[in-house]
Amino acid sequence: MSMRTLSFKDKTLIGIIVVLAALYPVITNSYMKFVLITGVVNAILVVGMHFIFGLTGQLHLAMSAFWGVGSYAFALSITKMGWPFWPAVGFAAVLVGLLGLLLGFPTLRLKGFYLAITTIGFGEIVRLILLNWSPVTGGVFGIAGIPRPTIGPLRFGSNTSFYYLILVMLGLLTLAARMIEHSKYGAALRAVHDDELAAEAVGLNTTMLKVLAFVLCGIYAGIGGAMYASLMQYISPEVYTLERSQMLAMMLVIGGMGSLPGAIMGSVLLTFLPEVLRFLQQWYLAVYGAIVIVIIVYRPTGLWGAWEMLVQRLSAAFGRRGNTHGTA
Amino acid sequence: MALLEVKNVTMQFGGLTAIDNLSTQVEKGEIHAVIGPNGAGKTTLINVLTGIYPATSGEVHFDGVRIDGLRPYDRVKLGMARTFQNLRVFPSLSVRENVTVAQFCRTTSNVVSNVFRTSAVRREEAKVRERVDEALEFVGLLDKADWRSKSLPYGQQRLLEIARALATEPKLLLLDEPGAGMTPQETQELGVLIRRIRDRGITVLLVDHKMRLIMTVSDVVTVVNFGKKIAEDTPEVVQKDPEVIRAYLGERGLRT
Amino acid sequence: MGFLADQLPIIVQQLIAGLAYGCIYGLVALGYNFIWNAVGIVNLAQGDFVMIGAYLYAGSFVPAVASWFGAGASPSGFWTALLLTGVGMAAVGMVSQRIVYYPLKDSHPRTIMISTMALSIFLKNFSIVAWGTYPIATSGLFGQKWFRFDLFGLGSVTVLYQYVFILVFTALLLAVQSAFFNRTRLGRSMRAVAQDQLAARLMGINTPLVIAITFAYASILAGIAGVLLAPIFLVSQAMGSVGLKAYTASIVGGFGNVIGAVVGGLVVGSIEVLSASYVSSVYKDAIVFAVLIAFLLLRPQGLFGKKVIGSL
Repeated sequence: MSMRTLSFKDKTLIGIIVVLAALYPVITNSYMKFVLITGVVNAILVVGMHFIFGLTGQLHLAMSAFWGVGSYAFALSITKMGWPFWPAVGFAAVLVGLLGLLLGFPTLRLKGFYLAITTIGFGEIVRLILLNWSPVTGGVFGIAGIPRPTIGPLRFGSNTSFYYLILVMLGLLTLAARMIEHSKYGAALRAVHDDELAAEAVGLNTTMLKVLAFVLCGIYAGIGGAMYASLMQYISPEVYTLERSQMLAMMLVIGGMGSLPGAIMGSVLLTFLPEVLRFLQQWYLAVYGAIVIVIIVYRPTGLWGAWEMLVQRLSAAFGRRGNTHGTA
Repeated sequence: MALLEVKNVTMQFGGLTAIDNLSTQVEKGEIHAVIGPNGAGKTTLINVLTGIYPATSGEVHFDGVRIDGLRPYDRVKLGMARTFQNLRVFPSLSVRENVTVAQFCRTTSNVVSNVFRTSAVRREEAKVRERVDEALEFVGLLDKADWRSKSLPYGQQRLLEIARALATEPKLLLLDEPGAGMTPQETQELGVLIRRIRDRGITVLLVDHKMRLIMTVSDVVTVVNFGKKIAEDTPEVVQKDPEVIRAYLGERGLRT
Repeated sequence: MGFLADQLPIIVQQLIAGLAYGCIYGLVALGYNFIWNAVGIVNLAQGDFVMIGAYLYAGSFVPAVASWFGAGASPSGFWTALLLTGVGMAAVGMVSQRIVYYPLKDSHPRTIMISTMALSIFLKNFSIVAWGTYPIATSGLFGQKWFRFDLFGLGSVTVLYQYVFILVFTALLLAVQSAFFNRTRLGRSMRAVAQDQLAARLMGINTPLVIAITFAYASILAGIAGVLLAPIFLVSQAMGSVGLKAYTASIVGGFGNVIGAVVGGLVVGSIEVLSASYVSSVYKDAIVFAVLIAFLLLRPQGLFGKKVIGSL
């Protein structure tokens, strides 16, 4: 894979980051600005989920558990153990990575619905522990006083500085994900998704690969969880619900499964969607669900598929043949 | 010592005995065929040898090592590769990627070095690319390397599977009905290809129905019926064996 | 031994409660099983169907019936409300099936599952719009009335009438269902479609219609579960959690059959209630889910199901 020529997908990814960077100052409403920041945090989580859902095709509905443990691990190490910011983030990443290892192994023989249910059950168990293990997690009261990031003398206290920091993090994490996708691991994971039996027959250790996907997802979720905690500066168990796991899964599906740009587009857009629909007041989440159904039914390749098609049509219309296809 | 030793292997599925106390050997450098009427247990044999089904009883030794209980990918690492009867190319991977993925088991770099694309990784990727190109060229698919694997015509998808299996750098290649669905022309070219594979030092075990292919290409033929071995010798001798002819009576396949 | 004798009345009391909850999980699990057998997918919104059923009953039909027949938990009022709920749920089931399953029926099962997930979110939030977030209490046929009986002189057992009603009602329902599936043409068509869709179609059965009816029936079961649950569990969005416990029931019992669903439900209900008393009332759900995961890992086909060959 030559790294000198950027594929269409890579160009779109860069474009998305640039658009997100430019978008922030353009939005005037400070609440909407905050929504955008949450959207980018969600994107980190969904990019992590992409390893499992997008590459190996398995339905993973315990993201809330991963994200929650990430937030709490970070928050506890920083507030109760006095760790500095970035080592605390690292701790969260490692811990949730290990959690991914834990969840990965038992799920090896399970597929489809059985895997979905296992992850749901697992997610609920973790949520109950977060809620009830008061001496450690603070129970219903959660954990407060979580600081914003610092790098050396620089403090990213304001929302604006936090946003750009997290956008840079998203960029780096997406780059890492893309490097993995392009590497032998990416092809191997896709092969496992296509045909596990044949993958074993060509020497791929499918067990290790599937667990690897979970561990990678865990690491990303740990980082996402930590940054979320730092953003909110206060966490409590009530956000880490099954509904949230479902919504994160939906962001990936809407964005286009199996594509990184889709994951980011889906996250940001679906984080905004409830806000945009807020004018519908009570109806907005119901309409949200309905819209998701409509998209799944009528445009299953998601936003990424729609984008690809749009660009193809435009280049055809303008005479140039853009090379948007390809298995990369 | 034979490269592959099958000792008293029996495979039972519930009440059905697919392989019945079968013993055979495949010597290094040989092209060894397994034939038999439909349902005789040939594909099951390949599945047992490659580790997809655990044998009910018996032993399998490969290159001096007892391999019973090893997962399929461990057997590939030891040097056993296979192709599938009903094509199993990876549809979402290109032709090149299908073959590249087979080189994975021969690489050593870890995830982190791949994220940072260290010079070691780049050297590894270059070597892999060389071997992949070589495998593709060997079967004649190099010019179609960037095609979607499923876009290839049927006969060429079979060649792709062979290239993919070769990319695992095997000592023994198991071909499960490689001639199925091929035209007579393609079958003849396949025979040439199999001999070229042997000439590179790779031992071949093949299962097929196409008698012309089997008889012209094989050194040894093992005939099975109802999971039992009923004959094993050179093609010329086996053709004339009355047991074999009886097993095939009614089968239009036995034509030279 | 003395300790056990002392505990026995309490255990019996809780077991009855557990079995009652178990019947409810079993009914919902039956719904899953029917849909699974018919079309090979799982409806992730089934728990929310229970919630909708409970809301329809307690939030809409009970007040409506009260205004027609006059207030008071009269039997005819209850049965009318139940009937109306059944009809309402059948409609919900058929409409959901048409929107969420039918257009996707040839897609990957995973896509359909996601679609049912979206349906779940829609239903939860629709219920907020329609009935508000304030939990609704309803008294059902028996209110909170309980009776007490003496257990072999060991002590008294206190049991809600509602629990016994649930047990009896479920048993009767299963008997009627069994007759339906064995003796009526529609019932046998449903079984045929569940066993082999293609063969059923070739025999002249209107398969799409039968599938729609299967979904409707699964919804009715969920609705009935909701109605039975309403008096002992406040009607609110939280009711959807029944869904996950019902999955546990389906998995513990096995997806293939009625016995699996019912026994699975009874086992889950008992474990839940007994864990609540003897282990921890806060973590009882976690224990149930741990059982779920244990079964999935060790015995995915459940107690009565067939061996799973890793489909989906």
